[in-house]
Amino acid sequence: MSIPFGDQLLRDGWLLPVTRGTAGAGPPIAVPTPSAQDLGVVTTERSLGHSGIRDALVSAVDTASRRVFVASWLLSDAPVVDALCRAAQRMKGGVYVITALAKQLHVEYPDGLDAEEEGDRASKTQQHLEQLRRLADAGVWLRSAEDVHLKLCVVDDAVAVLPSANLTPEALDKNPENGLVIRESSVVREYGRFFAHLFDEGCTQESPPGSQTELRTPARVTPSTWMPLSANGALVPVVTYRSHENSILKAALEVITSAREELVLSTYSIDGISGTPLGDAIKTAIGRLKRVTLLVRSRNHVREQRLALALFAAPDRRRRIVHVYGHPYTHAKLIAADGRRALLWSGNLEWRFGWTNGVELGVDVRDAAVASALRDHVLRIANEHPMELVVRPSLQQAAASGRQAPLTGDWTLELPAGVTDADWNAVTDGVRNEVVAIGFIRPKQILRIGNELLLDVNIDEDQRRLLVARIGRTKGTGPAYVRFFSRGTLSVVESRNMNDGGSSRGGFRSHARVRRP
Amino acid sequence: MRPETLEDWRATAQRLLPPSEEPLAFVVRETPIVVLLATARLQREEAVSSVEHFALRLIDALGAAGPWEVCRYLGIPPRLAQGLTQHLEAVGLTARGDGTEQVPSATGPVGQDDPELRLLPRAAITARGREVLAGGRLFTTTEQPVVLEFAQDPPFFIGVGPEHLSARRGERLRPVEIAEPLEAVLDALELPPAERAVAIGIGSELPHVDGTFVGLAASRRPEFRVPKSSRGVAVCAVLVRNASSNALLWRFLVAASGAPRRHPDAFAEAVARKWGEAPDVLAVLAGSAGAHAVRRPEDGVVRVGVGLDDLRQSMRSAGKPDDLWRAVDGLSPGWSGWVRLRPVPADAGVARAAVTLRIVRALRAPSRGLKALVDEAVTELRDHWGTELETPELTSLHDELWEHPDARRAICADRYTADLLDPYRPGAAQ
Repeated sequence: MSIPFGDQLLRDGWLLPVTRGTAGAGPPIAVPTPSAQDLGVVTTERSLGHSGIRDALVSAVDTASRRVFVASWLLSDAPVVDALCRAAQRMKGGVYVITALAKQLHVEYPDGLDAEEEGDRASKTQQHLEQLRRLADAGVWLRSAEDVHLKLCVVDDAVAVLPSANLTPEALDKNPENGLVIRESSVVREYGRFFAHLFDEGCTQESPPGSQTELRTPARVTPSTWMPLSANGALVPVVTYRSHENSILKAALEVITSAREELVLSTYSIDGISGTPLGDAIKTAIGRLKRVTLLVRSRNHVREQRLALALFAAPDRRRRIVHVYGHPYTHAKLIAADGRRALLWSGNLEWRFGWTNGVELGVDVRDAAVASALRDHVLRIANEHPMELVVRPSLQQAAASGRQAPLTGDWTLELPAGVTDADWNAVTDGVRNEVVAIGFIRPKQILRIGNELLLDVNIDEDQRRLLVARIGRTKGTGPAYVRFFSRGTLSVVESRNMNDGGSSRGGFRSHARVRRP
Repeated sequence: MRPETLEDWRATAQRLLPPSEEPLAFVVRETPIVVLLATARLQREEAVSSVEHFALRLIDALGAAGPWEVCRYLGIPPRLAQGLTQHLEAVGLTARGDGTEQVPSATGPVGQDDPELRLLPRAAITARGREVLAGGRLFTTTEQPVVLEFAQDPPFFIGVGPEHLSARRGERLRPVEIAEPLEAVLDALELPPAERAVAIGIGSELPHVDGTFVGLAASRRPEFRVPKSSRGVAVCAVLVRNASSNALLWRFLVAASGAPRRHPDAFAEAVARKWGEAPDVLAVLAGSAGAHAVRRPEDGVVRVGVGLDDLRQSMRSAGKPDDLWRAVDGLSPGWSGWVRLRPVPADAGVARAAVTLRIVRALRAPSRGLKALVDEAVTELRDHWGTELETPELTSLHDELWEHPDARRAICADRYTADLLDPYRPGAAQ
């Protein structure tokens, strides 16, 4: 009896491209085209051919006459950097930027860079550092802290731009992003006050203006008491500021609770939301609303997200009011209730970061026109690359969905001679387990079994053998599957030891080829 | 190593002169060495021995005494008493004269009675003998062959040469070849020690020669010779400003066969007077260097007004601007000279630009705010140049300094509070 690859079930919830005849495919959403009422809403949509966010940022910075505050985890977009350099030159300083300096770049990118783009990571880092050097040389003051994830631009306390995007070419040209341009002076000043406090007291590294970047610790300051953000009106600034203030969470819960018929959620990640105050609020909303729409980046390689998506859809197996849409590049962030009220913020629904820790920034929009425009934009993104949530799809189903081409037929997996018992058991158990997926990452010649095992293999196409050079383990994340084994069998053997003429293991592998019964 | 360049002499001066003496000008040349073979008259000082002392005391007490009295009263052997009295007379401590034949009345002698000694003459103590009796010391004048080394031009004493030079076959100079400076040496050797030191550098003492140098003995005609293997001597007159006395002084450095050494200052001044023939040698030197100079009495440094390009050369580092050394023209043949000049701004515009430049240099490693750096730069340059200097407005400085990448950090630091803190203080205007 062979291992039926194609029948293996993938765990959790997967975002798979909608195919004709697929049951439960997300229907196209009727969304109005952008109009004048979207004044203030800025977006990046490839279909528009230009980045409204970039235009808004450059336009605002070019009008600066006193000071410019910018925060973005990554900052490598040349037009934006050009504008900041021009402003620093024009104002003889006065441009302050919070971004990832060299030390922070050694840690994992928080978002915006998917694992599929991992190969580009070095060049993106290089781009980022190159732009930092330009900024430093132009007289821009750079600071950073590892837990600062907000995106913000404040110009002269007169205009603020709150984008979901990091200021990188990829984010501003490729990713669907959203944002707001705010000119309400009382609100903008609050953002300025927050940035100034964070820059002065909340950063751990800096590179002062100079001919080159130079990492050092900012001078110590006497901490001042943080006064929470405040504003009365249609736009309410909110923030997650470490232990100082968590008004984003409060606003998010209020927006979700305020929904009467519809809730639209957009996020890059949703990991670990189940069982949290936010997850509970959404679960409750699913129970009482007519439609809950979630747009999320399709990160099928992240088990935490697959698990979260499966749980997200679980309460709705019968009513079918939950509609989950995947998008390979989306980075827009929104919680919108009935198109009347919305929370736009820099973080994600992922619970691990940004709700009760870290530093994020947002705006609680109570203007129906603006909230509606933000909602419509998210729904347009959902239509752009329709992907649906499939809970526990089979390998065959996943392979047939388009992106992953199947590898079919019988293959033999040869483990290196003298493989340890632990590795042998891990591989054979993984193959036996009928719900563990086996994926093959062809360009890198890596075989992945389940969520833990990564095998470096050399491919013998003629003999249909996969010769294992090294056995490694992951922590559940890592490179995405490129091709699945969708039909056929996989046998596990240990390479014959040429010195002693054969394996010394027990009867299970007394023969050169051992097939699972 | 013998100094040859300006830098060599500056290093030599730094080593030989006290830190409080800052060189302002150097005048140097190479000149041949000549040796003077002569006999020196030397005065030597000796301690009087105990027996001499008692003999003098006896003679003084008796009024006059001869060997017999010395023998009988001091109890020393007859031959010793005879030799002793002859020596005292020979060195002028006793002398025969009126009354010396009188037989003294004294207490009973204790020594040997040698009848022959009675026949020998008596002598009385002299005035010099009484001085020696009071001081216990005896001065004598002797003659000794010496080899004195001199620089030829300018003629001055270098030192006492090794004795073998006198035996070596040197080139005897014919009388007509003795140059005027060397004749001056012979004349100067007749001068009293103080004047002689000023004239040719020989005072009362000769190195490695015991005794006070009195002059040349007439018993031998002095003759000059030129050592065949000599490289000559490098001489250097250094004009310094003494910080403690605030005076301009000349120092004289000489490099012959050994390490360079400092020579007596009096001779240096004399040499300088000969060069200068003017009340302000430094001004003359500076003028010869092409500088339309102004010398400030406080530090003696010659200022010369220059444009920004020249000024930039002196401000290569963030520290105090450097002075320039410029070669002096028009000195006597064989002489070279350099004078230290301090470039100062030719006008207010140059001064302002130089202040900016100085601040930029300091900003490369800023440790304070821009205002403190500006104040420091202005104060330092004002003192250094000795000119009035206005402190520029910070705002206008921002515009000028921004083009320098190193300055941007300080400018940004200057506006940090105004940008990030002041606008958000409670009650701040929105």
